[in-house]
Amino acid sequence: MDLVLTAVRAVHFAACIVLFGEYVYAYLVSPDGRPRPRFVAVAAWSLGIAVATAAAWLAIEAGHMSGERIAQALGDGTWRIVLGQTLFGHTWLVRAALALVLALSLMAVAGEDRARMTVSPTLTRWGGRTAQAIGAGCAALLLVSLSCAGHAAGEGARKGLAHICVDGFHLLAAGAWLGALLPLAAVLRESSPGSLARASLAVRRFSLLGMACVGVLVLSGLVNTSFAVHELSQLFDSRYGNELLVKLSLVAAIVALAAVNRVRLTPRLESGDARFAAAAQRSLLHNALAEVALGFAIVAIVGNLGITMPPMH
Amino acid sequence: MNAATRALRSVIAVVALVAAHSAFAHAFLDHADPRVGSTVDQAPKRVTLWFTQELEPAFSKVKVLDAKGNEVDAKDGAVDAKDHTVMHASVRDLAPGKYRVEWRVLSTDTHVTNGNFTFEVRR
Repeated sequence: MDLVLTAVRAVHFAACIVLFGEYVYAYLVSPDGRPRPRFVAVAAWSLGIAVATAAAWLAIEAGHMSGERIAQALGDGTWRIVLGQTLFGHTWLVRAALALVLALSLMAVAGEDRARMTVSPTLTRWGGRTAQAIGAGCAALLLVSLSCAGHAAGEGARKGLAHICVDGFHLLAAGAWLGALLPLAAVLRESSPGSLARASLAVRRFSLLGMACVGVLVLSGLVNTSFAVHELSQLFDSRYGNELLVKLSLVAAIVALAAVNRVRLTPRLESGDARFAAAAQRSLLHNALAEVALGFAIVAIVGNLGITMPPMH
Repeated sequence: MNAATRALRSVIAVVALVAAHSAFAHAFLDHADPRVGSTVDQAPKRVTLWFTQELEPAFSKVKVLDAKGNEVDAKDGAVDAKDHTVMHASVRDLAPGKYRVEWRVLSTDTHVTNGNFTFEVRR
């Protein structure tokens, strides 16, 4: 069952990150300040997967919390007790409401183009932007609220709240970085006229975003350190520590790729030499896809770390 | 930004990512009254357990058993209404002998832990 819960958690984290990343790309990376063409489809699929895995996560937790089989926990109403009487359940109710609002906002964005044909274009554009902003807020909260269903929620009121906030910022930064990589890769795949300029602008914006995210990750990580890390030796003599070290290696690989992108490939993309720039664009695409693969491998590890006994106990 | 600064930033990012997921915890028994493994002269009126984390009342249970395995508490074992790190179970007129306290608790971070300890009433 641990393996199933690990998989469900990992897929849920990944779906929330992809969903949030689409909005981050639209607002902070996109060359034209608009979502990419497949925005609604990707966001809708991500949301659907997030909702499905959230339901599965709830069912597994109901069985886990009560000590019953999952089918029994679902049949005898234990899942209602989980929803109504636990912090995890309350968090899930709020997240369900967020998912509903987000779904409605996506429908509004999807209907914007159709409505523009029959209603005032200005009005529909304003409505679409409002819906998109609401969706962005919901996507961010869906990601941040995961910290209320994790280990930070196990501490006392004041310390727990501070830890949840720090974890929330950590999730947002990690989600913005990894989530916006997928749409960035889509831009880097383009080979139409003007694609080089678009790619160059997107890469430059993403680079700034990446540095900001690293800054937030550093700060949130250091604060979290003050909450919990006791001895570095614990990384080496436990399963938990070993998993962390694997994660550490993957993070190091991602950071190394990002450094290559920033230092070597981005200047070539902006060099003005078409041959150099095209080669740099291809390399940036390959690196972005590699970072995505490494990033989701990290998400899979995080999915398991959440249910692995830490060495400090 | 020079290479050294970039390298330092990378190292800090890695440490931060590790630290961010090192704050995992479970609810464990911190201490109890009567104390774990203790022998008391007077029979307690209730057993109290203090845990290292806040508990979910709906899925946290504690019971007191005698040497034969019979439940001897008032079946009111529950999380304290004001302090969710504490559990109580009332016991009445415990005869001299050994007793085992069994607990299964759910912390607010959704982790289940369980355990038991004994204490002895001398007279």
